[in-house]
Amino acid sequence: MTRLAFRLARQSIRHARWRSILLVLALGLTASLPLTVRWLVGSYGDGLTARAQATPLVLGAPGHRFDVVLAALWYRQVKIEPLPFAEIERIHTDGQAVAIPLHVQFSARTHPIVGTTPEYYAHRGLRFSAGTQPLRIGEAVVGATVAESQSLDVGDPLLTDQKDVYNLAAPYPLRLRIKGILAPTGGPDDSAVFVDVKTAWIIGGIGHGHRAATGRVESGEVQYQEITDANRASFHAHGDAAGHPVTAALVVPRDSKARTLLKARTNVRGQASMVAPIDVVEELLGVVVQVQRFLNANYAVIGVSALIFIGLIFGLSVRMRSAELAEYSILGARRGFVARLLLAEWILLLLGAALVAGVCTLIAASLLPDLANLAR
Amino acid sequence: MTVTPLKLIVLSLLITACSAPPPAESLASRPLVMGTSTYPLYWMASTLAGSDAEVFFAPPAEGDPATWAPDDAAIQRLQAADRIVINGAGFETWVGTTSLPLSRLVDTSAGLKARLRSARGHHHGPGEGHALDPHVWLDPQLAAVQLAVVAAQFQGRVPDAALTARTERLQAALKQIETTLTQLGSAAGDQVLLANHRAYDYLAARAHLRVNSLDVAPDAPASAAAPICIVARRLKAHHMLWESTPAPALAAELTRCDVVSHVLRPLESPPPEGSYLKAHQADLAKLIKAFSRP
Repeated sequence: MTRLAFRLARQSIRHARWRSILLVLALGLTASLPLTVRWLVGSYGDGLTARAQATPLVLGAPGHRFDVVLAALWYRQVKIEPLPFAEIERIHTDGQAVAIPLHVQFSARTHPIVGTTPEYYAHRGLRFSAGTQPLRIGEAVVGATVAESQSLDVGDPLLTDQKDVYNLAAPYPLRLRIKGILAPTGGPDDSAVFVDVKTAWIIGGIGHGHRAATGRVESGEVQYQEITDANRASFHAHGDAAGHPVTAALVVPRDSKARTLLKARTNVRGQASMVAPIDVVEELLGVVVQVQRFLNANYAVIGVSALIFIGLIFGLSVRMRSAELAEYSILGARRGFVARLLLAEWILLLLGAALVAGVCTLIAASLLPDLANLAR
Repeated sequence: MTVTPLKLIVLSLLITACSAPPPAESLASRPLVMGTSTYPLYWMASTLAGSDAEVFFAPPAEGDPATWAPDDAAIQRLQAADRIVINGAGFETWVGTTSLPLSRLVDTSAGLKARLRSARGHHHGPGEGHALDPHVWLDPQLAAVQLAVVAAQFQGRVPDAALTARTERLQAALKQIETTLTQLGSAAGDQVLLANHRAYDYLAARAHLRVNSLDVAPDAPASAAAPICIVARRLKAHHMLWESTPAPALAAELTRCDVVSHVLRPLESPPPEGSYLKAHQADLAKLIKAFSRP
């Protein structure tokens, strides 16, 4: 009897196909929205937390903890007070931790340029699919996504973006030479270009060469400088390196005691701020959770409206089909068969709506920007 | 065979002992790998290390470490080292153009900033590396400070007793050089010495020598002798110090204007024979002998 009810329900849905399709889509899309948001927030939260947990401490200019962490972990280009390099030297002199400088102010083909030192690759456990890490100034390593999207290979040139086209005193863009390509990591490192921190200073005009090679790209519109074997030795920075700027530094303490002491001493001095990225990320996620709660309440209202809407449709549908449903009794159907038939119809419609909701959530998840892009 | 509770305990202890992670000090027990940029630092570091650590001299043995441009293999070796010990004071110009792990880079003259001497040449402002005379090690007292910095890198990686004994041996060697420099100062007296290059300022200050530095390459042609002779006559100088053996024609030409050439190697690179102590003492002994002649 139940089988018959489902067979007849299928026939009924097929008969009124446009009404059924609209109903399935309306219900599916209504359900997919909260599902997508929940999945997205969960996934981004996991990604943010994992990256933050892998970074013990971040050092930056005081008063910008969110910007400093976003710049240090996701290479977001932010306008904050630079951190003098002396702060990094101070940590090295102290001997309690390794400080890895990060200079995140420039870009190449819109991908962030990260000026750092060889300790960075070891700390993040980065591997190379081709070539090596930068060995000299003027050399760059590109993330897997950059290499793929820009069709770059080891030995190719890569021009930095002109930051301020209206500033005539600004240094020319630097033509970098690609020394290595990172293996995919699934994180923000895939979309970044890495250079030595001294190269970043040269891009910023702090360092320069007395015999700098210059040239023009084929379009003849952009003039650039280039570091070659012939002129490399003439490159040098002006002023004391202690005053050179970096955006932030990753700090890897020797042990938990060193971590506590270092953080307390630095923050008491007040010249720089040292934060645990996980604390900052949890604070950020706390705001996201608040927003999600508000959205959940919103979705609950939408859900109740949808239920009322479904009830209305159900009532109207029964009324419209009263003649058809009465015929089942005339044909000798048992009492309660009509109720089973209607239940079967709604079960099939709801299954269809669940399928639509699942497909929509998957499509949204694949089309929405990745974590690194969101953070930038 | 019956398994008693005692056997089970012993077995489980054995399994635990075999599968336990290595103790925390296992990393420290791995020999420290240290790269050095000048021969005096290599001499200090390799003496301090003995067979307890690996020390290598990064530039090629032949050639000038000051103008060395490391190739890919050399940079990768330095990047992989636990410590990169440099002289500093602007001696290693390649450090500014090479990507190095800054947390493992040890500048042995960083603590000597107030005692560094400026050099002529390319100036940009205070604190510039290449505006300083980098031949710090030629003053044994400053070399002793560098020695302390190098020795600190081995703490915990070389047995304490051995490290102390080796440090004392090197300190004694530097003291010996200082004594020789005092003798050299006495032998030279008030006379003015010429130098082919500004490499002896620290040595001269320690030995109380009056050195007037020129800028003449040892392989310069004989014609380079004329301006030197003019300066020598003006300063009443009869001896000239060279970083390496001057060209025979040039030396002969200088002899004609009563200027005797002497080789006093700064020993930036390893000498063909002997250690830093022996080679430096030998050069100083020759000078003392020359100045002591009536």
